[in-house]
Amino acid sequence: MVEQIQETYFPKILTFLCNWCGYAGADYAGVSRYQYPPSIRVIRVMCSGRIQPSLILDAFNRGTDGVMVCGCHIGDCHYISGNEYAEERVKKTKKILEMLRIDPNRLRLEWISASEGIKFAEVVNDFTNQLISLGPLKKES
Amino acid sequence: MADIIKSSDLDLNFIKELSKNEETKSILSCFECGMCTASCPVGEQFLLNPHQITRLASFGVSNQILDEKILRYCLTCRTCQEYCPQDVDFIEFIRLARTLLIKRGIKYEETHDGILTLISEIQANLPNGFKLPSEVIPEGYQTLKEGKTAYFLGCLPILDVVFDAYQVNLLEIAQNGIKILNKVLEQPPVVIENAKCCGHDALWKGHFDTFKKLAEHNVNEINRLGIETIVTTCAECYRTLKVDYPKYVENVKFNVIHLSELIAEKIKNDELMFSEQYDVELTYHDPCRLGRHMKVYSPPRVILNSMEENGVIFTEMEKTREYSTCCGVSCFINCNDLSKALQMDRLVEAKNVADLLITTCPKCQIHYSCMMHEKKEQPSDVMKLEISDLTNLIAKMMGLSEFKHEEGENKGVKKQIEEKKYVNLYLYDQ
Ligand code: SF4
Ligand code: SF4
Ligand code: FES
Repeated sequence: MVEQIQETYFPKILTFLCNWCGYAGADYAGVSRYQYPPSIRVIRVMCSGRIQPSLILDAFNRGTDGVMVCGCHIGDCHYISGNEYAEERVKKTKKILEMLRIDPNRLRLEWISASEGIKFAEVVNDFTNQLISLGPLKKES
Repeated sequence: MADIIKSSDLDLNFIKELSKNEETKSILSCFECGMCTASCPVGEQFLLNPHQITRLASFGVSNQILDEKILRYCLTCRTCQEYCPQDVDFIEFIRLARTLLIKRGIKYEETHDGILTLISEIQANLPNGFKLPSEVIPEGYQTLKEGKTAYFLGCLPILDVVFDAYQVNLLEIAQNGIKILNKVLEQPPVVIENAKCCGHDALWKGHFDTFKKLAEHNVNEINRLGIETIVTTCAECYRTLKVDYPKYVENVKFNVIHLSELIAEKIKNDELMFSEQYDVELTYHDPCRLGRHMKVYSPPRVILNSMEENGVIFTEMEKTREYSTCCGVSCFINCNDLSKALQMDRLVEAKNVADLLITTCPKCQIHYSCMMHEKKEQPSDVMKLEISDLTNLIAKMMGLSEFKHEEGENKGVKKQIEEKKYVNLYLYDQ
């Protein structure tokens, strides 16, 4: 039974990428042909400061196994302080997730600049592996 | 609402649905006197016409009523029912109508990007209740895992995180509740480890399935631990556990009391004396759920009056008891200019008679603090008002805790804003 689940389970990760850094980084990973697993679903947003906790909670409510928010490095945000807000919001959302008994490691915040294609691929790899070891969200209690 | 009713608008199924239940059936007895609209705080601003809605509903004109733009305005504050000569249960009707609306797949515009609905939905769908942060249980105090009397925290720890920008310090209420119960009960209280949200908001928003799941889980959990009495510090939990659980869930054997009732009882029996001295002029706001819904008017007043010897001067506001105004938002739908106006009026009213506003519903406290937060740039006298929960005041007077905010100045909010220390959780409210 356990083996069966492991065979069929492959995590789904909802990824919010900021237009200026995260998305460009993912693009760069693509054109440079860095390999990463097909676990992510990308939503492009103008800035990581746009992500409010309800979007993240909604994703989990609909059964996403992990959520990743990528923005520019601190100080590099094109809207000056958007990523600082994102950092604070993700921190609070993690607290809420913990109380709801969803592992806070299922939510990840990463700073990826436009030139860090390789980092993007590594992060997706790492996160996917982590989620595989955590198992599907529905099984968690 | 259109003025002309066509015969094709009539919906017999809707009337059948209404007649299923004694409470909603009462709307068929409306004789359209208009008292409800005249007394309704929303009707005053011509946003809602309860008498028109009741009339249309009794004709069965469902397509004009089951409209998100109409139903969301009602605060379910129950003021109209205080005046209705026919005892029409209007709020129960609104609740049913909202449930039907949600069944049709229509959603409301919700405040805070709908995060509170999501939180209760996630809880309803996961097998276990939420995990309490360890700070909830104050140092040096004990709680039990099983026993006769339990303290039901409700969503306090979660709301504390969500609304932490308003500095409402809801966790403090939970901590003080545990401290007080430790002192006044023979045994330390049980804190149910696996409880979920009581489901109040889900019920009144019309998410009946979510409510049902939450309620069933809580009832099972409470029965499993063999708890006989539940104490709450929240007006909404009180109403939901006491009235709505027995109505919609089977096997409800426990008894529910509000902390203010427990303490008032102890004071009447001379079992409790307040030890601390606190010179303050305060007033009390009746939350709709504890006041008009549950008719618990006197216990909080008994407590506040008994503090007279300790320096506390309790003055009633102009609108009080049955006639007190609502805090302007219920179950986090539809917060608009009207809500803000109601809040401001109430705060001014409070400031006219006192320096400290006491309430027994954490949500009222959130909404009023939000108003204060919004007006932070226009310093006025009203801004000096402090808002706190009765639980915190009792704990302070028993010498169990201090008010966390500095006295006199408007709490920590202002300081934090000046230091730009916090970030709001919601996108549109920087
Ligand atoms: S006050 Fe009662 S009887 Fe009068 S219009 Fe309103 S619901 Fe009908
Ligand atoms: S419950 Fe309150 S807001 Fe709703 S119709 Fe009655 S008085 Fe108006
Ligand atoms: S623009 Fe990239 S984080 Fe703000």
